[in-house]
Amino acid sequence: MLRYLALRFGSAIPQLLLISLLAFIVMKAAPGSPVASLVGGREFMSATDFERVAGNLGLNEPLYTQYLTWLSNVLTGNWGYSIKDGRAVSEVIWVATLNTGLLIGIAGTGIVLISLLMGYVAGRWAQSPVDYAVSGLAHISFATPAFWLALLFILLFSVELDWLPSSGMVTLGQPDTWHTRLLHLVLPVLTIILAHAGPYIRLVRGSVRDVLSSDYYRAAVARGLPRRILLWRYELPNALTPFITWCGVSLPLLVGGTFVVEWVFSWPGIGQLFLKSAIGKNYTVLMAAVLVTGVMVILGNLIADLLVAWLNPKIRRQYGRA
Amino acid sequence: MDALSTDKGQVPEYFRYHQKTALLRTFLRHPMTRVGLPGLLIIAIAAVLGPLLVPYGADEPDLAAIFAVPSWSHWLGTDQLGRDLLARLLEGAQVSLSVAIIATLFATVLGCLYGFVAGMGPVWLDRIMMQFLDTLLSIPVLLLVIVAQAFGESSVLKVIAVIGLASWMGTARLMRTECRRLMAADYISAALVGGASQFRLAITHLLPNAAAPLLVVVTVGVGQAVLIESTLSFLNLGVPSTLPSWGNLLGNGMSSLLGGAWWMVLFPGLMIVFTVASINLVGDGLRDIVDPKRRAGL
Repeated sequence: MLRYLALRFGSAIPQLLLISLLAFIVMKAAPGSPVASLVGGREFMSATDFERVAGNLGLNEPLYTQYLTWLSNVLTGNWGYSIKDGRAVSEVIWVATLNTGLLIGIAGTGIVLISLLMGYVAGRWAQSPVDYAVSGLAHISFATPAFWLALLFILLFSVELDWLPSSGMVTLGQPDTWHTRLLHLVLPVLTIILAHAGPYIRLVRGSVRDVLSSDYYRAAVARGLPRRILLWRYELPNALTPFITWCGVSLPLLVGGTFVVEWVFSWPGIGQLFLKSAIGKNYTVLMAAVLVTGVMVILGNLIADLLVAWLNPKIRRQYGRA
Repeated sequence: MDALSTDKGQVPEYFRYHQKTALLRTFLRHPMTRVGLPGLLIIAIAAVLGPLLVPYGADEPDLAAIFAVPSWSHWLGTDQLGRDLLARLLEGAQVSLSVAIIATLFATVLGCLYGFVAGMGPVWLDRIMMQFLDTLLSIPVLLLVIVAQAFGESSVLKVIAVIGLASWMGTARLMRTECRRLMAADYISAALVGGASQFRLAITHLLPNAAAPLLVVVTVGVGQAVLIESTLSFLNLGVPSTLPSWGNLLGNGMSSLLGGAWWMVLFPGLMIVFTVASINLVGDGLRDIVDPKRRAGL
């Protein structure tokens, strides 16, 4: 198990490096010189001053030295300042990350519970009316863009019925209680769950069917094992492994979808920050957002893989004894 | 993604006479394609012929009918300039679908080349290339696309290039696996001993073998490309806003949302869902036919 851990952590390092390289490229490719933005424009300084300041900032160094310096800055928490309002990027990013984490955390839990439940029911009673309903819904969910669902929900629940708030995390001008916060969570969470659950449900359904038609399961039924044992020791664990793998693999999709949903609901998270800085060409924040998102996804993948390894005796044995 | 697996030994009805019937007929009989294929046909016909049949132009403002509710004269209503939504949707079908199809073809060529090099090249190169692929896959596609779109002006060609560049990975992996599988086959060794060149191998053996699974990936890819394009355009990062792509129509609908113009949001989205669902169904049908394990009813 330790060897597996080491191997898996090792493979995350090139991924992290690539992400950081991407973020560095975003920063470097940004139009305009950082020197000029310091004093408000190239025309305010002489050519010799410009050279001197560029030299002080390390901009005359070769690119790989710049990259290493930048990387060490990032690692020590020095993320620069937003071009737009001069706030420290690390501070802006941190708040947004927490908000996004809350949203994805709740929605992700919802997706896992719903897809396990519905996928199991559909797989166990395959080709029943329930299965057709669930599978049909899953198909539609797979083809539905999250942002469109978000718009429909706003139209229905906010504009027509006026039940739920359509934007932000709190209502402006009203006391900030947990009650209003919960209300603001309902629509974004619902949107993310409904627009993403499709492939998860179909996967669980498929693997439950695979388990039910396997020889070891039939043998277990033939031995007369009680339902409880069949469910908890045979059906769920075997259906769970591909599911968790898929959860890790599909994390980029979920994060991408959440970003757009955040945009529609003006949720003050990393996705909104990301899109705003992409559209407003605020490259320092964009760089940081790329970095944080990438790290989040890679960590999520890592956790999923470790969970699978922990659940799957094959992997446990393979690496455990060596 | 295993919507249609069946119990062992029980051959589903639509596969039963597979040996006697042509593959095409098996495909047409498949329950998934029975729903998906007509859907695709409807979309295709609507996209090609639709703009000719609707009496309004897509960019024809009618200031007397601003925000018109769906009615007999404007079936799907009008937007803030009085432009007919149905005309714009059909025009948008041409834009969205051609962007998606061209981008997917681009991604397919790219993925095939990458997979071919990785699959036919030396093992160390294969390792490096696959590690790179895994890393790319761990980054949200949307993130890559948005970062790319944040630089420079938006144009249709750029959107196509960006979507293509963001979605070739699946094809590459498939191609690489097919190459490796094929190179291990005896008849390939025979061909190699006989002096066949790599190029000849690729044309005469690899392509015919990989064509079927490739078709599945391409089909599903077009659906995903439609989704990416609509998301990008919705965020104002896609095709120029003067073109009525489905995403642009939805973005436009969002700005009129609080005014209660529900038709501007509902119909473009329904179009997207209908299109992507049809494509996915056809893709599922294809996958069932192509996969020899399923074909044998395992």
